[in-house]
Amino acid sequence: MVRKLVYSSRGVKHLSSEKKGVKVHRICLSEEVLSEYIGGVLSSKERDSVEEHLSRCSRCRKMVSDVHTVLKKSSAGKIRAKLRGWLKRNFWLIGSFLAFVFSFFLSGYFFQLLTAAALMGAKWVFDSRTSKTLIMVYEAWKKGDKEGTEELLSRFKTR
Amino acid sequence: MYYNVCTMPVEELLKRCLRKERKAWDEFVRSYDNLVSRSVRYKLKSMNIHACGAEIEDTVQEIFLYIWEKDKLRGVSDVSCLEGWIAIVSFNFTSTCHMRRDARDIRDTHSLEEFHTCDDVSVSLGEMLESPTLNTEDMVYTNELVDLVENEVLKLPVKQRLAIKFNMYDGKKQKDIAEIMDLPISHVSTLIKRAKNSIRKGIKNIIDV
Repeated sequence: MVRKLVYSSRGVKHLSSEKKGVKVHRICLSEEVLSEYIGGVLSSKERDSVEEHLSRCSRCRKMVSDVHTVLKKSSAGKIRAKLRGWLKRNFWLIGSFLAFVFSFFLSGYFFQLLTAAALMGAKWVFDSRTSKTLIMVYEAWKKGDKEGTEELLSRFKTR
Repeated sequence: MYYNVCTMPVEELLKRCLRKERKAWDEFVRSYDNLVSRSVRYKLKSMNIHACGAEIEDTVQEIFLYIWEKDKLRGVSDVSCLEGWIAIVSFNFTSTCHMRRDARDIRDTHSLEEFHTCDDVSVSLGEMLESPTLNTEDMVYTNELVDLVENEVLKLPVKQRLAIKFNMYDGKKQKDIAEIMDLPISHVSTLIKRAKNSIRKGIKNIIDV
């Protein structure tokens, strides 16, 4: 049995032993190397070395597989959160649009629905962050607060 | 919102966290709390451990404390790997933590040889358990087959071996394998197909496939 230490340039370090020509890896890949493999930042040579280990070590392979699943779920959650945020921000706009569309189908309530659409549209306009900032800029400007106005405007521009 | 979005660039956040700036650290915890929590839940589920919300919350806090105290963030060389690294650290910490707890719980286990008295009859715990019906011939055949397939898998080139192991052993879809191995799906599909053909050829002499 030949025992030797295998080092690579980026710390892929594991103690391996050779018995009948079959390498048995004793120490698994580090957290950093595994994350770099998942992140796809390793060079092709390093990737090959990591894949060689993964093809034999079920523990590391399971880790990569689990991390991939968690990150995938996490990104799906982010998309859902973004969608929820968008719906929350545009709640009144959607309501206004629906009221406008229904006003054509429910002719008995045409004016009521049209008024509701207009009110909800106005609510959406005045509720949006841009409008709120513009109102604050206008108020600061009216008061003659030059510094405040400039600060608000710079915040508005950098957003 | 369900997910907290980091307000400063991740690279900047990492640098400031390494300088142990309290504000940056708070931001870091806020940004990655969800990922750590998700990883802990996933790991516990895979270990068949049922934990309540408070226990999970405790583990999440311990993980952040561990990263802070051991200065673990120094090991992150690329920000694009940060999420994967956090998930790996969370997995390792959760499994280590629960392995220690399991070791403590061993004291409460009972031996199968232990005798119990039931209706004035003394029986061992092992005798009380129902024995599953085993067919030794089938088991030997299955074990031989498993060894045979394992030997054929070991003969495959690295990429084919990894792809087939992800696919057959871990139940990953071809799309996921392509994402992990950073290869096109068609390439992964070819690798798996070739690997299956090679294994089939290798065991053809023993059984009819």
